[in-house]
Amino acid sequence: LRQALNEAGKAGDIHALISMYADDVIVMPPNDTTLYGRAECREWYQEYYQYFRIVALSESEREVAVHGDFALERSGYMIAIVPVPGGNRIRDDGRSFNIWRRQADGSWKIWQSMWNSVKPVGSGTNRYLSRLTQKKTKGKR
Amino acid sequence: VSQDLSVNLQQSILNASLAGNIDANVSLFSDDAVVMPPNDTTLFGKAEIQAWWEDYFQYFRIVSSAESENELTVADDQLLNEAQLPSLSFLKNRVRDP
Repeated sequence: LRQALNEAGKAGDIHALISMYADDVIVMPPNDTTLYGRAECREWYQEYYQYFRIVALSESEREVAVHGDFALERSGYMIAIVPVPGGNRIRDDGRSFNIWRRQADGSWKIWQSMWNSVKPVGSGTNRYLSRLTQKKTKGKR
Repeated sequence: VSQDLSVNLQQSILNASLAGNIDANVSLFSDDAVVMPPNDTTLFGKAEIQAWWEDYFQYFRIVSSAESENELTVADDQLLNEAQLPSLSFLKNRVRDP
């Protein structure tokens, strides 16, 4: 599942990404508002891939604990993205924490998710994602 | 009962943070706790968590912290707690040059 998630992320395959989320998913991206449900997640990814393309994504560590219908997954990752309009490759190191929940049909879906960067504010992907968030916030005023 | 427990634990965390009480704060973490503060390295275990809070309270004092939202799910012996917690911190001392 994690492999499929990473592959979908690298491919920018929003449909595949969203298919791995539960209907009542809650996602808490860094420096951004909480996303509730698949529709908000889809919108977030559409905006993300409008500006960025993931060119490398690998896990540095991963730990999974299963408790009944829930699986707690903590992982470290290294990511490299490039701006769609062009520009230098941006590298970042971060961590993610996902709670996967077994669905009525037996499948596992991401139910709650958050991630952040280990790099200082103003560096890594944060520098660019912050600008995007500011732009979004400004647009809502 | 679980909801009460969660409220009590969350309140204990808030109170400890507001008081700058590192011992009380760290006592709420399990020995093998993993904490991932934003824009910082991952903390493994109580000793690293304690060192992080000692560093934090050396520079900041939390003057306000309140939950805007809290959702609790119990799975076996796990309490899955998702909370949104805006907080307001003040610089306690001037940040010294390294």
